[in-house]
Amino acid sequence: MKHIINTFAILIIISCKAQTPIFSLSDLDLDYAAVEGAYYKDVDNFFNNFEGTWIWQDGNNSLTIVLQKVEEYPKSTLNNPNWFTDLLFGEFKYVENGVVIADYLNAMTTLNYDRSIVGNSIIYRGWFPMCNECPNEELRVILGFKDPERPFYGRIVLRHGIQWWNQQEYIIAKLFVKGSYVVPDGTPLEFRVPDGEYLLLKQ
Amino acid sequence: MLMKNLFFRNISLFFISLFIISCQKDDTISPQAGIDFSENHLQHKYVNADDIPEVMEFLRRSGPQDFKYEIQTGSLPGEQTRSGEPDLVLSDLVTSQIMAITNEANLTNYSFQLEIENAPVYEGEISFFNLIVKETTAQEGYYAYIQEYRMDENWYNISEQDFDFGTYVGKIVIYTIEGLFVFSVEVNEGDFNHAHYKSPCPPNTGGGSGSGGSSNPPGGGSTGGTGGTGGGGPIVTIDYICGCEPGHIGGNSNPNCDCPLANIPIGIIISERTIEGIILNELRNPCPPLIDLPPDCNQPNGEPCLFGCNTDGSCIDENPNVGINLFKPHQDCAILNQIAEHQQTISKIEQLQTQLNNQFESGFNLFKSSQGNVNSTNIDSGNYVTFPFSSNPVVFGGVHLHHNNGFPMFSLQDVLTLNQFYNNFANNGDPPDKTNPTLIMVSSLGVYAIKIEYLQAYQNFVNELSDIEKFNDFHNNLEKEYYKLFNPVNGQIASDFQYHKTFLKFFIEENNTGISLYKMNQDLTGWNRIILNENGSPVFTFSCN
Repeated sequence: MKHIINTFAILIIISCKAQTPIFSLSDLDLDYAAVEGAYYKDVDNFFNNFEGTWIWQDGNNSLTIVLQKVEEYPKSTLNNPNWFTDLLFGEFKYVENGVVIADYLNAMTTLNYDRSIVGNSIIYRGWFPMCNECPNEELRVILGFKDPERPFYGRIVLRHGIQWWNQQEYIIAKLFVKGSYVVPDGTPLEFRVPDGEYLLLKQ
Repeated sequence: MLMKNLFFRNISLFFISLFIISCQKDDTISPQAGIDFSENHLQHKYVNADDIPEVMEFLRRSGPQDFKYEIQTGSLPGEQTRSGEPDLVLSDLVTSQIMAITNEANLTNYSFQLEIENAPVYEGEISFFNLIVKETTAQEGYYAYIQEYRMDENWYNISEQDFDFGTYVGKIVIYTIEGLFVFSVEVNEGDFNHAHYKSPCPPNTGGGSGSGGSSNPPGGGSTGGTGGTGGGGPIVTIDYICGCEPGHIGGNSNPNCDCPLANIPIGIIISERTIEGIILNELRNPCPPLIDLPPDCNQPNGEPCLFGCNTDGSCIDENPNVGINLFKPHQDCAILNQIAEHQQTISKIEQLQTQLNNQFESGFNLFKSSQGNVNSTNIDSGNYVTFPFSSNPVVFGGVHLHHNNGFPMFSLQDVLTLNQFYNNFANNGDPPDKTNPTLIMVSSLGVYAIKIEYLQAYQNFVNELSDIEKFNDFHNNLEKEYYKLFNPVNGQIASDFQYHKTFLKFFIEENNTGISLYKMNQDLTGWNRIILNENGSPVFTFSCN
């Protein structure tokens, strides 16, 4: 009898924990980070498509991006002290004319907001930046991007795809800075990785 | 064995029930308690002209068709206008943000702001005007008059934006809708003295005249109304709808105030009535021919009717409560108005409006000349992906584009850029001043500006966001809210109403960032402040003009 009661007690605890409200990050009407204790989840494992090491190569220039998904990352924000979400963290290495301009790949041992790439926004075809070539149902992710040697913040938009002829996975990364800044004269206005679109292949 | 099975089943049912109940309880969300906006059995709200067609039709019938009113300010007894100045106020009716006060009898009075075009200047005094439309049970339905608040300049200078009329020092003056003086009373920190009443009518018509008497408590005196003279002391009381501290506009814009009237400027109500309705009769039916005078009438208890008589001898009823719909021009308006009046800057803004489909950023800096005048640099149209404002210490702000392919509203980075302007601007050697930093954004929705309203709250916010995780989260959350205003397939954006709502909800209601939002009117001649009202809807609260 005692075993039965214990079993049910454990079941209640486990079940109730499982009742933590779960919201899909791809929900069009998502009220993100609004509910205390909630889990804002990559329900369809869309972020998994972007995990791994990706390289763009053009002669002596190359861009390497490493991305990793973290599930149920604990969060505390101004209006909600306790919630969870799935996040993509990443770092980059940029080589120009054979010279390493920036390399933060080793920092991927610690996955937190110090990383150059962080975020979890799933966006639709018509959402900024508009993707005219995307089918209506295609989703993308948009993540924060910062270059530790620049005083501004940018965004990186990622499309995932598979080359039909060789089943090679790729991502198309669009990198840009937006907004206004007060900067001393002579301050570079771009990241060390030039703004633009890059086709990176999975390694 | 059977008993054991039954017992087991009952225990199971008990735990399953417990499990369901306990888990359901976890997900239950209590509805938020509603907010009661009534006090003293009065309801007040703000409406626009489109919401009150009957009232607007009444005004068209009874006053100037173009809603331009003339007021004879110099006819105040014992007052002198400044030498050589006109004695006439010309004013335009403001047809938005009309304060409506409804009493228990469902009678509503409306207070319109009157925008002054031209007025004499009284030394030591500053005047504001409201047009009052009162609903009555009389046959005509409404009557209107003009109410002036002639404020003591010292009181005005120390007042916050929405005025604390509990400490009011100045005069309240009432004119007919034709602009003729009827009544004035002096107010000194809530005490009412030296009431003056004068019939606006020429001799041999209805109406009376008289003066004198302290107004609180009501004085006696003979009645006017039929050409007689005598003092009638009005009862004038001021009640607060909301007891918040001055300057609070509701919501959580000020963390120290728990005013329940979210985002409604504090309203103040004056109740006024006169002995035997002298003044009200003058206002309702100025100078009637003697033969048209109403009959004497009394209430059922034998007391005289307070608000006059119907032709059948019954009492007219009306709502004695009148809202004061005034705002001190906001300190932010000084800089914004200078920008609006600087034609070269406006021309550059117009030029940016033609570049909304460009691929690259453009904009220009706002700076102050050595004389302190607002000026602007040339448009900088380099191939920028982000617009770089100058860190030159004469630069206090800037104007930039938000292209059609992006968010048509301010970003988090834009809000933080105000802080850079605040810190960089030299302010002519004086300490930094929160009224200087101004960031203007041109988008497909219009021309917007953000300013720092509460410096401490703003600096707390900026400091909080120096943490990279908090910055990232805020940026991410705001972006998710803005995305919801895009069509997911064709990218079409929502209305300006939705963007105002999202911006204000995020930066004012949910996060106490201490900033304020303004939108320029379509012809780029002035600015209007946008806030959220008690229903969470964005409204234009006052014009800087």
